[in-house]
Amino acid sequence: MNDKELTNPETWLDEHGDYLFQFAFVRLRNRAAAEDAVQEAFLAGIKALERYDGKTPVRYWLRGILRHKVVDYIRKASREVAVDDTEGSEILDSLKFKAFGIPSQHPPPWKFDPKHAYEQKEFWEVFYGCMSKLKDTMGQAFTLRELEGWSTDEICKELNIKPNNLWVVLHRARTQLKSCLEDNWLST
Amino acid sequence: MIACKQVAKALADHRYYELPWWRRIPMFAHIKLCVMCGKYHQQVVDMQKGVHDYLEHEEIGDIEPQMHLSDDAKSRIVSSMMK
Repeated sequence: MNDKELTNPETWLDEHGDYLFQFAFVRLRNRAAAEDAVQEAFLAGIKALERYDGKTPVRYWLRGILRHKVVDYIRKASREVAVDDTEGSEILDSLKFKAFGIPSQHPPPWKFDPKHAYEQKEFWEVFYGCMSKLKDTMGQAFTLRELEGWSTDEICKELNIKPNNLWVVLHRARTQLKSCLEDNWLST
Repeated sequence: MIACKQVAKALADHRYYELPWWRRIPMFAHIKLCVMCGKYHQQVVDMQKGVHDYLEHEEIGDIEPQMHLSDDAKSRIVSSMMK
């Protein structure tokens, strides 16, 4: 395919549609929102095509646009869900958290060896499936921190939560993800 | 040795694998040696490593698509792009 074909929007859907949808879905965990985000990214791409300099492959250029659309959706969705400030207070009030910053000295050990699993190609499909199941604030916080690398301040401001609540939300997200990975990876 | 709470704060605020080596080394040593928080924080680091590796696979398009755009969405996208 030549350069002209690569930057032809008519080929984008076939060439990059599923890749971009997968990218959006794992961050939004909502089919309709992910589809809308991909559509908006394509439309924004068409508008910005004159400014595309060809230094980045089209797929990654479109993905950069999509990333902004995903954040816009998270921003919008977070305003529609009120976060309970008292959630997780039993963890935050615990002696272990106050003294050491942890909820448990002896968390249940992994039921599989994560280092070994990370070397298996099939594992990433399970990982994708489990990340896609984190819902609401838990999913939004996990996306912004772990997938997008936002700072605590940025996430707290965007989701309108306090740093300690963010910590609890992320702790719960990791616990749920671990449990899902154990159930699904061991059953493959 | 750095304190448990410093490790907790660093892991709450940053992705471990993006920290510079001079911050990771004392954290690594703490996690390996501390009987109070080591096991918990090792699992946090394992999970962050998982996400880190996932993102690398995602970057190169190495993960089999499990989710596909629906036919309805494809038609909608095509017609919106034609406008």
